[in-house]
Amino acid sequence: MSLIIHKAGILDTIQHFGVKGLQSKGIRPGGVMDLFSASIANALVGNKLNEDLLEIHFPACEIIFTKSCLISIVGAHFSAKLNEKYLPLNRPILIPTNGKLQFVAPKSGRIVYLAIQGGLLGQGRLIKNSEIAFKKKPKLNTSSLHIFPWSADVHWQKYSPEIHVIQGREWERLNEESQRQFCCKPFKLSHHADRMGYRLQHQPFHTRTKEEIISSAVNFGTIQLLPNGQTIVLMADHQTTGGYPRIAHVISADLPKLAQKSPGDEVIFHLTDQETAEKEWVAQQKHIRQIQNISQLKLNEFFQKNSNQL
Amino acid sequence: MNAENLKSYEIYALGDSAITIEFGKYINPETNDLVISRFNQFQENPIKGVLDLIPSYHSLTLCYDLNVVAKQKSGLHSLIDQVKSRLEEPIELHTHSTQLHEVPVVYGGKNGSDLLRVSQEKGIDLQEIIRLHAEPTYRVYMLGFIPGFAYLGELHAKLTMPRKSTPQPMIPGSIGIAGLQTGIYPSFSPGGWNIIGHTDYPLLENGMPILQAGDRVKFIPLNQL
Repeated sequence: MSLIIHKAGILDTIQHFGVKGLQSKGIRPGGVMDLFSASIANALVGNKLNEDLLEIHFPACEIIFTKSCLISIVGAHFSAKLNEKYLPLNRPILIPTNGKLQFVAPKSGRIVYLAIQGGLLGQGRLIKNSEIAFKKKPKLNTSSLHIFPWSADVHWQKYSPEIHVIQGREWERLNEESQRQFCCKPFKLSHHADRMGYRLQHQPFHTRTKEEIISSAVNFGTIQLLPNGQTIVLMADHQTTGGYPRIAHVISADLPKLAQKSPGDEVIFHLTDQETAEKEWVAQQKHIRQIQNISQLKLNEFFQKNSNQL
Repeated sequence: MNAENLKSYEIYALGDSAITIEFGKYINPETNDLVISRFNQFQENPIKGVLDLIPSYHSLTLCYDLNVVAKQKSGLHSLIDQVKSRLEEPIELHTHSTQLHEVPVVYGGKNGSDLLRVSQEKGIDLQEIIRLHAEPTYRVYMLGFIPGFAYLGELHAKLTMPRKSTPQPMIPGSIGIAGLQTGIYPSFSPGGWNIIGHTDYPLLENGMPILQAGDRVKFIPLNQL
């Protein structure tokens, strides 16, 4: 009852949904980069929305399932293949015992999530030949692949460059020209982009003052202005505090979209306000919960009908 | 600290899922006492929807669950109102913890490789740098950056150095200086502070920091240069 990492990827991990309550000790929350895709992946297999799952980058790991199980693949399109057959995104999929899963070509996005019904045990990097146990014994046993006939609507995931931000505490430090550039000019994501932060490429921004600020808290989505006029958006593995000016913050609802950007992709920042940020977030969460409810119903129905064959 | 100062604070949004209460504009022990006192208050009696607290030199940040806050009648305003009324409650001011850490330091050498450069740039001889660095009893103003990294202040103004322009790899126990601060790297990490010494003092226990905000630290030089 496990999966085996047949070949390791470059940056694949078992991810949780963030450790809360320890930032006063300098311990960062971490957790999934794209909360939307990860939640949908869990919803599709009937898990609680914040069950631990695999976070996979490209080049990705190869996985062998030692026991049949129900999975879903949501997020980046890496051309997933099971024993030479292409698998779709955003659907529940029954994997047969000894199925071998590969991701063969990146088509769009940066990070893909693989959820397994019942969840996984363990944490950290997915190392070659390591074995990851299922939390719960799968109820089913099948020797053939089954792709379910329904899929989740993930329109929130569309890869447009528009990212909404709220002004930061030190926004006013940018001079007028830099403020104008920040708000409408498209920027490219630099190659310095990892789970800690995504750097952007642009003409250096200029400030009205060089006065140092006193270190204080930062957040997932905080956009810091570096001493050389460049910017970095802090991502899931951000540090808890920082001493660079915080010019803006990406709204929570747009962090999944940003997380899926790869080096070279464009982003365009638009200023918005707290009220809009709250509305967007509530709408996104509602959508996820609807998918969770429908999935649960459909899965129950399916397993009742097919309990004899599986 | 007088009553007027205690009451003055400013609240600002740190994105859509955190707010920061700023209690002052400068680094000083009184403001930091207030931060730690309010941190204890919010820790002991949590506000619904608040998931995490981040105390710093002069501010306290509350990270909240946007689901909970967005559902309240006036969203974030409801949370801010609750926070404001909490801040009206009188609290006993936390004064520095009685916990004193005596931290032995080997200055200079392989694990304090910036000491010579600091000495040259500041025009202060090595012995004097050690004396100035080891003389004060420092306060742990906050933990941050990486698990257990303690920001200590205040460093003697004569030792003020800018951060390095490119972060370098640090080993656990590296003692650095930057601006009016000194600090100890608890684990392997990149860092931009100027490393003047090294300690074997335990900094983490099962991944949890030993030094706490409000504690005091005294460096004990182990070597003569």
